[in-house]
Amino acid sequence: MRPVSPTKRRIALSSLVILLFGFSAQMEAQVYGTSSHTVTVTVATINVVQVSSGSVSLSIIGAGVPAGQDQMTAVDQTTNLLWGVNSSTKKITVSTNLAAPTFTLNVLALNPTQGTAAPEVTLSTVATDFLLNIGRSSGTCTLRYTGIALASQGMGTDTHTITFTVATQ
Amino acid sequence: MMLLSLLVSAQLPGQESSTEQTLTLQVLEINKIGINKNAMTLVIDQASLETGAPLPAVNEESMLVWITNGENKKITVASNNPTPRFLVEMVALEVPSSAGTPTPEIVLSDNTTKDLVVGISKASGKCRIKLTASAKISDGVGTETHIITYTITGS
Repeated sequence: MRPVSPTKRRIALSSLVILLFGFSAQMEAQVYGTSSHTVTVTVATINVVQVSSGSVSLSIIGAGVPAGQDQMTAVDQTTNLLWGVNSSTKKITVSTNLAAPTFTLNVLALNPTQGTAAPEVTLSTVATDFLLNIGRSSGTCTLRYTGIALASQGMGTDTHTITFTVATQ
Repeated sequence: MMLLSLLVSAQLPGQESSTEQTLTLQVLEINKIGINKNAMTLVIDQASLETGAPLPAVNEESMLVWITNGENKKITVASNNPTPRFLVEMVALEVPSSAGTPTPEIVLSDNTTKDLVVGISKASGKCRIKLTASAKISDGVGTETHIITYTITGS
């Protein structure tokens, strides 16, 4: 290989420097000009509640009723309550539309996955606390209904429309 | 998954923060009756010093209980012994007035059905059963058994 003269080496080096400088200047020119936009995410208050089945049938037929005890009961635990709430200090209340039932009907939140079950509620038209401290949660509980009839109340049928409502605690 | 489905459904139009469930509570006619003593023995082993006749044996240990949410019911009693040699009488004691009216003392002289408490409507109650066994000298010595059946039934 022939030796390169110092003059040619300087010329080649200078050319390389000029080439690299110009290339980087061109790259900077590609990011000129910017644009932006604002994205706002709003999460509204969500309070949803639903039952696993729209109807329940409860019959007191005397099975297991001891003679001499003036109280006959039947229990149903076949349905669940489900809820989703994204704000705190919420509770669920329960009420019935039946103003003057012949028989007593109690309901209890059994094994709630969130919150605290209130003591067993005797249903009335007044909304009564059913489940407390459920804020910011989704969960379920079993609905345990207990129908109670006294001998003096005779026979008959009560039909309740039961309403569960998410309310502020 | 449940949270997701709830949150998604929460965004649907018309989603409410309350829900309804229809519950039908039905109470059928119920009639129950029970006796607390499954077996007892009445022993006649004393006699009157004046007449020599055997003295009756009395037992009031049995408690009868019942409940009915129907109307116009009664409690009947029957023995399975069609021709008893010894006399057995029965009466219901301390029947609450709200739970029925006892009949006068009845004699289990055959296996027919007899009224023990009548006028029972939508009530629960209990009473003691007084059983009196008596015998004449001429009846001699012996043992006989009654299977006594209590029934709550329509009047």
